[in-house]
Amino acid sequence: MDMNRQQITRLHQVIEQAGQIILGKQTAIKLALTCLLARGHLIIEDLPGMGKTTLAHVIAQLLGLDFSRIQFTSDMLPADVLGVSIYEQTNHRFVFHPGPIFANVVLADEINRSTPKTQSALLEAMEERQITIEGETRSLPDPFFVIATQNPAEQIGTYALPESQLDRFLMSISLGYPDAESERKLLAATDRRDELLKLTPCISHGELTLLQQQVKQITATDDLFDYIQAILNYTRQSEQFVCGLSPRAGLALLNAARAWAMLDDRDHVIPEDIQVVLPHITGHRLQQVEFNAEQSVAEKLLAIPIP
Amino acid sequence: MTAELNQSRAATAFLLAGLTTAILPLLIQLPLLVGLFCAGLLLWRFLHDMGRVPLPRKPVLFGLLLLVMLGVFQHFHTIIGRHAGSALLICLLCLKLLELRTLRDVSMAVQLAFFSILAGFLFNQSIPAAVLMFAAVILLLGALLTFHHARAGYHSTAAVEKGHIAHAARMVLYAVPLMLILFVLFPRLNTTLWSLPEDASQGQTGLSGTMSPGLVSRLSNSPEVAFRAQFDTAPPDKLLRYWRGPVLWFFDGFTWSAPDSAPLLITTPVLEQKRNKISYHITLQPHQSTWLFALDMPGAVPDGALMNDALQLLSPQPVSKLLKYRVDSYLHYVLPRQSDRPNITFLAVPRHIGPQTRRLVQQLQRQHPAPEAFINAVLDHFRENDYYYSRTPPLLFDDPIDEFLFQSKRGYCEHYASTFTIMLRLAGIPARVVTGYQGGEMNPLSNYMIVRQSDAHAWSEVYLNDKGWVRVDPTAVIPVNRIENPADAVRLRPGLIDVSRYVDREWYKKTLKQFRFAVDVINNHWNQWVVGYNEKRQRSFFDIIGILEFGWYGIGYLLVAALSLVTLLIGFRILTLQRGKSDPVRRIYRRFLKKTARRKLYQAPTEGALSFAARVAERFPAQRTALLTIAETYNDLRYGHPDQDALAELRQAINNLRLTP
Repeated sequence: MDMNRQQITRLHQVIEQAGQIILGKQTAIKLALTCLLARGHLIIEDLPGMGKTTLAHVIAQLLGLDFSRIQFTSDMLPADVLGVSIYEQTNHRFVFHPGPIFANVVLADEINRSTPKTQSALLEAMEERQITIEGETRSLPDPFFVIATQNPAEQIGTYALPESQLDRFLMSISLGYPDAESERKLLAATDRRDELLKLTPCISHGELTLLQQQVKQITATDDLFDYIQAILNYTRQSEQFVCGLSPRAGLALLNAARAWAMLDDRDHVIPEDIQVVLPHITGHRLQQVEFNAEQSVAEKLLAIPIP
Repeated sequence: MTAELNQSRAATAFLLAGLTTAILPLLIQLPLLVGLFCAGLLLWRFLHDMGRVPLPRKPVLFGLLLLVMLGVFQHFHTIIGRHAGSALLICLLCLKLLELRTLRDVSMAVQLAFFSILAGFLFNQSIPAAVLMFAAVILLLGALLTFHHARAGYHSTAAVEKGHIAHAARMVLYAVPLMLILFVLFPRLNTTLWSLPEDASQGQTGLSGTMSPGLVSRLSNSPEVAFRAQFDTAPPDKLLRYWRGPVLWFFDGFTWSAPDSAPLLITTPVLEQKRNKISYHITLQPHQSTWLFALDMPGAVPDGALMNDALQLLSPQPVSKLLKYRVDSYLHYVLPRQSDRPNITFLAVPRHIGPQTRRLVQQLQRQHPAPEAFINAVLDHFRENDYYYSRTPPLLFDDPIDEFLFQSKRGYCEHYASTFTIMLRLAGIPARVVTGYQGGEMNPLSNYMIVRQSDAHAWSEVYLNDKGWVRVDPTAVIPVNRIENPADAVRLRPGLIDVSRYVDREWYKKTLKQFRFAVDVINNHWNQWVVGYNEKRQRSFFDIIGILEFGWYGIGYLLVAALSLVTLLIGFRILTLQRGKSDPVRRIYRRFLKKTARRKLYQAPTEGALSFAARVAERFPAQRTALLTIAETYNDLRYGHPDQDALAELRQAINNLRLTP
């Protein structure tokens, strides 16, 4: 682990620098990085204008990754996301023109505005990390990190993602309004876009991949598994949830906690790591039976004793 | 959330094993068909769990249910009572296995199995039954634990499942002290709590109250204990160990019986002469009939017993549980002569019986007109002609007397007693048959005598005008060389033959014999102290330990107090065990929690060590570093890479911690 100390320090720099642009959202930035380190994808549920695009852009910039953005609309087709082959007159053959998904960091904006067909094209690509068009399989770049945003579903003209699709996102976060101090700084600052473009990468491609691999080696002991299982069993047995957490959700919880532990410069997972990522792992996966429950899902789960 | 049964192979394996153990004591008491039926159902369930066969549908189950009801009714002619009820219970219990779908079904099956263990004790209260009970309870509890564990969705491995059995065993172990207290202190009732209708069809091993050819020899291979006797004086000489049982005088040509119950005596007959007094206790195994046994001839009727005018001891109720009584007998006695000679009852012989025998009797009577001389002549007849003592005599059909006397000439004691008695009656001498036991073996490891069913015997009693009723054992005249079975020879001729010829020389046979005696000593103690722990014994035990004077109320309080105390002790033990079970890390960390608790800071169950340390550090900023070190070291030990140095470090850090602001 000691050999990675340097890289982890650089990640801390990423968090710090991003924090200067997206003010007052240190935790959200750290969670986004956690998600990236755990090789998962992120869904941000928030109102427009909260800085979702900026967050994605900043992360891409600071990690030296290329970035693309897809604005989902209701008339969008899978080809608009994945790419299309076009016949070229000059050399008499079809040439593939990669779609916006061929980037390291992809911001899928307002994913619930598009039709299920297009949504699933994206979700499949996320899962497989490759796409197949006209019989040819093309790998997506690595690292591949999708940040999807979703408007609150009550808005008109949206196709809410079903739970099975949401399960493919490792974590969900929401940025929320900035606090008063950050808001004032934001108002007083110069144009953030210029600052953003001035950012230089803190970490190399290779180092990032190495860290992603190291996440799996973060120690998790039996005592910790007990805690995770206690949580999983609680969701499965309690009558308060429509259905319990899947095994994939359990793995997601463990991997996210590992990545968080790594960002905290620790070589093992402790219950606090679980507690930090827990609301973001379960927020989009668990649905309460009671519509306006007094306690949120996170509150209920965080009340489970640590064995 | 449904209560769908979470299949675990180990869980059903435990359940099947536990169930089999639970119903085993019942199965051996019930018809073979019940056993086969249950085995079939168990096998069905087992194959289902192996994934081979599906479970039956509802109509099939219903059909099987009807089959069970009909079968039980057909066989027992009732569905209540000890045997029929038990048969029904275990058949239905095994049927339940075919519809275990939810956890509730499993709990129900286990409870039924517990009930069938209880039912098993209606038949058998021996040590093996008790051992089986423990095994069954442990397996059943283990099955319950495993089912619940699987239902809760915990990860199970073979080790975890074995752990459930160990856990169940621990639970049973904790229950043992409570069981003992209840057993010793809970008031015993003088009578059995329930009285179950006894099924007429069920025969008990032992004397039957009637005697026909083949009935006593049937017992000759049964090593079952009939009763045990513990002597206060020296045990009687081997030749004189005649244990008097049912006396029979009515002969229908084939079977001896005592149809009219003989009138009970109000006063005990005073023996005219009595010598060689023997005092002893008898611990009688339950045999479901009223007769009691005593050495020929009891001088007085034991407390609570009766005697009829055939001088047979009787119990007022059938002996359905172990019975202990005290008797004094006189080996040499002369009975008082009756005022009037025994009447025709003791002279009757069915008219069609024994034409050849009648001729023989007439011939002998001509030569020996005096009754005593005639008796000796008959005995000489047996002695001098080729009569054999055999455990497997030929079957007799129309006329057992003639056929035995003139054709087969091989018989067991009942043949000799029967024929001898008839011959005397034909000669006008009143005679009757006495059944009982002859012999008995001193247990060399302890001071008591074992009398087994194989010692069952029959002899005659003859009325002589000047001597009253006298015992004559016609079997006794058969020479040793005509006794076919060596065991019988040793039993009947203890002094007359070279026993060493029959003594087992092989060490393993000797050891086996020794082992059998040892087992019997244990059984005897079990009978005396556990099965025979009745109201009387309880009182005397209370007297010994000095709590009898408390009265029943006081003993009630004592019972509650003892139960509470033991429960508390066990609870304490479980709690400390759980703490002790925890690894040293937790133990040391608990010291830290004690220190913080003194400052009114408690770690919440949902709070990680690090968060808690940070919270404590807010109150005690000076100790911040120390607190965080403790939390980090603890976390590292529990969730990271445990090593001994870190443990020492943690201990050091916690010992050095002073929570002062």
